[in-house]
Amino acid sequence: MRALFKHEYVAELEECLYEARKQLRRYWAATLACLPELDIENKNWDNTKTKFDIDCQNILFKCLSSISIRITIYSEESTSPINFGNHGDFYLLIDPLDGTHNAILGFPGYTSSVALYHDGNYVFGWVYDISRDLVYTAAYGEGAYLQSPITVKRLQTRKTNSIEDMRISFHRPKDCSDINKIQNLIWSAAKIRVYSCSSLEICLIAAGVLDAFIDIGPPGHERSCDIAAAELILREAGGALFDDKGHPRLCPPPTTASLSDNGTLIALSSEELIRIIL
Amino acid sequence: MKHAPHLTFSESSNSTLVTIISEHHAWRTLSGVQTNDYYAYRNALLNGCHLQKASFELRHPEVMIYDLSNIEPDFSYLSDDEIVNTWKYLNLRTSELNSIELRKIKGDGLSPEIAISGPSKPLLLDYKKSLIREALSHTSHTKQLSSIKPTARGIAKNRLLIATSDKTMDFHNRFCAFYSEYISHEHWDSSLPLNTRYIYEDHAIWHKIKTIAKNKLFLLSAGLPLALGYLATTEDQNIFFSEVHRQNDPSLLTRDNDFLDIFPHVLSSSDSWLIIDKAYTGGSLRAAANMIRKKLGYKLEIKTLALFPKTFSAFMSADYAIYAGKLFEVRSYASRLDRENWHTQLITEHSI
Repeated sequence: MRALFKHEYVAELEECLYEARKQLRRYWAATLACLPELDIENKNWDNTKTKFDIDCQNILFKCLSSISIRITIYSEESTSPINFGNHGDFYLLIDPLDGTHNAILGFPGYTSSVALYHDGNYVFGWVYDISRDLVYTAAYGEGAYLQSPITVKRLQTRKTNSIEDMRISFHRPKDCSDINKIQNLIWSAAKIRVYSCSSLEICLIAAGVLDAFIDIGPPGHERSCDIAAAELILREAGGALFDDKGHPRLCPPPTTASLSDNGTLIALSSEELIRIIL
Repeated sequence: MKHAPHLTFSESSNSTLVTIISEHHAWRTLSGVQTNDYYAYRNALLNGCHLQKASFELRHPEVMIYDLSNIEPDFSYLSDDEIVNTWKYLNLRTSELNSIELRKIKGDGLSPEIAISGPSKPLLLDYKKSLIREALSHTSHTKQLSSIKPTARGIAKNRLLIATSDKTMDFHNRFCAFYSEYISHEHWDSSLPLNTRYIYEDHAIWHKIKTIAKNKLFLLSAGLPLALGYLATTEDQNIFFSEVHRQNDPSLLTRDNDFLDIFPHVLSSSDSWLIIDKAYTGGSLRAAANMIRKKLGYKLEIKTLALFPKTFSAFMSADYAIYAGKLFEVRSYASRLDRENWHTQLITEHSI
């Protein structure tokens, strides 16, 4: 895989991430592909960081450590920001392993997610679908792309205008009224697919595979570190993101709060669909 | 288990039977084979041999300082005389290069190019930067950026692939899907065609090329960014690829199979063909023309286009040439050029 985008600082980051992709791929083949480990499968999931999260974070940090631009990294598995590089004013928001529970269950839906923030905007997003060895990526104003080891495809969302034609993914809600809303969608939509990995589900909307990902049970599960990269990818592919009230949803600039700012999310293949969903 | 056709060492001229002794394993002594032929090596692996030892030969990185045949955007605003004077100045300065590390690249009649090689790319780029600054400070010129297209004197590889149309990207993907069959899995990440970032820019000359013949055949791997630049500008999908392997071709080391065909595959054709390739001697263009004749018939109309020819013979042996951003029909210019000065004479000639 190769760097794609215009700005040299993005290209340098892409080079680091493609080295990380090789290491993550090795880690997948050596460790993640062998899961589940049956003795830990039945333990209760407490959302704490696992060995797998830490290993993925270490791989990303190692590959980013030689970068020349000055980056401040906020990572899901790190309590304080980390700095690399010498010049510039760049921030990374990272989720080294989004979909950890899937990984532990042996369900092949988990990603590494990296978003670059610079000059008041998220300017670059990179979501690596580890088990399929595919990269979803976008740069602000330059489009969204899917990279395999051989091809690069420009992403565009699927255009649909009815629930009956939609392919929907969702996060399981707890509240009764939300359950009813989701039930209605389940029985009306053309297809239902659930991956339990929001960065991947948002990227699948960008790729025209899905039309919506819905997480409407307050307070919501989606943190900025989970979805900032995927958000840029979806917007560049023509999609839109809202909260459960239908207000546009934008990830704020990276801070330590980005690691725990859970919120609701309705990610859609087009802005117009919000009227149908709500 | 997969077996390659069995070849004894004597059947391959580059292979020698050797004896391998392992002192630390009780002087265990067994036979082996030594070769510098990549395919003999791969066949030996398929027959159960194990790699025991390797030696490596690496080519130093190189940097083009100045190329009259394809002038970089930095020099495009110079007048004809200034372009030639700058070439003379840089040629002199690099000929005087007295460094253990940096060397001017020499060759037989490689008149337009001034290039250097050395052990480190950053070192080469630093040298180029300082030399160019020096050369331009010696040239009196008036910048007329508004009136001259910045790259009119050359075609630069500076257009991002992702900045092109869906048609161009789709064609690129179809080509990569096909070509990946020939590239060993371990080389997917380093194969140039599979990792194209930049292609050649939009240039008026691509439209002129479009009219010369119906089918355009580009030679890999340099031909891919050229073909994509051509396609992105003209939207002409009549483009084809083939490969001609000549001396010092490192791409052979990344292969599972030889690519000896034409992509997209052509069974028969009565249309005219134009073969397009960068030319040092013109040998690859001639070899590709012969390959097309052999595959599709000797009555076909086949023409050759030498891109940025580096020698007089490369220019003269083609039907067309692109030199300093201009298209030349070679036979119309042949009588006006002399072997010693052709590379500067063409700077002042007019395009067809």
